[in-house]
Amino acid sequence: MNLRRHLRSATLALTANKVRTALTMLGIMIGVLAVTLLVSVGDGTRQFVETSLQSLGSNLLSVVPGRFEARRWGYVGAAVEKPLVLADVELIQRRATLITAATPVIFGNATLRHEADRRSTSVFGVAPEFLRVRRLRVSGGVFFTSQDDQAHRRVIVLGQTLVHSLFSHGSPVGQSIRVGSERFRVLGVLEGKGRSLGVDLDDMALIPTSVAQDVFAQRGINQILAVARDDTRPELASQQIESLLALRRRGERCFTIQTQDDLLRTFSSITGALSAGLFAIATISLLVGGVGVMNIMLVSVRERTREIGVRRAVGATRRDIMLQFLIESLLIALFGGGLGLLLGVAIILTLRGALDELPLQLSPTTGLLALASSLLVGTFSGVYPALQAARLDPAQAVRHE
Amino acid sequence: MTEPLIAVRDLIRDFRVGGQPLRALGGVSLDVATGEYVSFVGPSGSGKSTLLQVLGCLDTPSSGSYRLAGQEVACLADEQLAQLRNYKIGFVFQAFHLLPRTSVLDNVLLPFSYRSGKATAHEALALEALELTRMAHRRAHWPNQLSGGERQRVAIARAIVTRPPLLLCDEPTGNLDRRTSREIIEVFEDLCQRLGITLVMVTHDADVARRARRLVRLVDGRVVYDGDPRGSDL
Repeated sequence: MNLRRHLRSATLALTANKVRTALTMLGIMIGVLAVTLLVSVGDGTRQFVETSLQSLGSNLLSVVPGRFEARRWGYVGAAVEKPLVLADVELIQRRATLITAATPVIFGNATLRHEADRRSTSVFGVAPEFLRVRRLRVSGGVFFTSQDDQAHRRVIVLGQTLVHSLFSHGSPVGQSIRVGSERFRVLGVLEGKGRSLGVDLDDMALIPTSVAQDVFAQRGINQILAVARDDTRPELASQQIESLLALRRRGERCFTIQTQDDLLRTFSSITGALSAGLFAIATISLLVGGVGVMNIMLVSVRERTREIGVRRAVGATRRDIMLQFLIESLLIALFGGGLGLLLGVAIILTLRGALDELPLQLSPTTGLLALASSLLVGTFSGVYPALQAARLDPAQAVRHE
Repeated sequence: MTEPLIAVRDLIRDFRVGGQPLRALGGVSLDVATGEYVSFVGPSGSGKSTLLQVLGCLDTPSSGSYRLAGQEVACLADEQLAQLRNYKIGFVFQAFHLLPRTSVLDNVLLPFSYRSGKATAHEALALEALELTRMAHRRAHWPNQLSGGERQRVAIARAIVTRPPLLLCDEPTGNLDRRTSREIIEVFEDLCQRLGITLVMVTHDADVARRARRLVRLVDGRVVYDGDPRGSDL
């Protein structure tokens, strides 16, 4: 019996029991839908993280206090920590020839108030170089200068979200606001960066480093951000910073320098694990669908025992019967899987249209994975019932009531 | 002398039922010539249906020899037996055994599912078989839209569609009223005459058995009478 006849035979058998076939397909459809959606979320998250990190620039370096080791699931740190100080930043700015700009970062939370409006936000103490390092722009007013920093002037630059929450009308530039109990003058406003993954990138305020040290009562700094020169490799710049800082600490390396590649590797391993976890969940739902198909196929073999007998009587071999039932389960799985994939793509496109910040990624791999997994489920759930059908004794099968 | 279509010698078929051995056929020997019309009769459990299934290559004997058209079939593999059933044998069952929710034409085409060839040629043969059983006008209907007699006519069309030399019928009139039974038997007789098919029929119906040219009576798995139906006490 050739494949075309097998397909026709299987299609006739499946269409003869439309409701049962549809219900069986539903299980596979839900399984493949889960695979499509979850793989899409996994891929989307990974791509989002990579794009976000790349948008910071591949030559961005971050120095943090403490020694951290990169591990598969992230960074493992030592408890002993010696803080970074402003002298470290000055040393880098003065002596690191492979660096174009460096800025200290001190961060904390504070409540900002203007007249009756108030908002709690992240406040960063930075140097003027921060703009260049983080590729930010000022859309109104100006950014503070090193003179402002030296003079400990209470000046502030606001992100767009703060502008909208604290200044419902009029420009904030030149106006006065309170950060905690201290009064600050708004020097400028940052250009909007938008939202990403539910995080508002405009919900922050920048103040001079010296002022941040006063406000948050800390001498040490939380992070140094630096940009490597375009004509050098970030790892070389990282090595240069490392030797400079180590020299100042008499060889003790109690700090960690991360390049974007390091971060990318770490995040990739985390998002990879996330994808694997999501895929495992999807596989379970697909397996449940597969068990459903197997169950229905076993019932079908029992119900159609006499039909099997008749087919054997008119010339079907064991192999023909096995192929027929196997093709039936494969067709159920493929059609169910195809519908699940289509529904998944429709849901992803609808969601992406409605909420563009959702990390949903559609790729040909997702489609291939969904169809391959449904084929696998079809085979897995069809083999046993097909073998049962093929093993039936034709003489008994034809007499089956 | 030409070899008979069916040549059976010392055929034994043993089963195990509930762990106990059961001899369904206890050494049957008989020949059936091409074009013969034979009835198998006997009480329930006499082995007539088992014999029919062995003759139809659906079952294999425990021992003995069975030659069909000169070929020993007792030792054939599954694929060869299937091919033999497809090319040499047509089956008609008491309960018609048509595939539900499948058109009359597709039911008749079923034996062609297991051989190569052009679909159009097969369809033409199926329509011809339906014409012979006067069911061509119902080719698009489903079996549940037909009467018992019509279903059996479709089953006969399926059995003869490949023009096999041997037609095996297991109580083909068992589910039909007297008038329809007579009509169905007339269809069989007409087809055998026209196509030269050998007809072997298991029946409980004395009237049907009497119409055959030869009667074989089985009791406890053995042939106790083999001859003219008029010579047997039915």
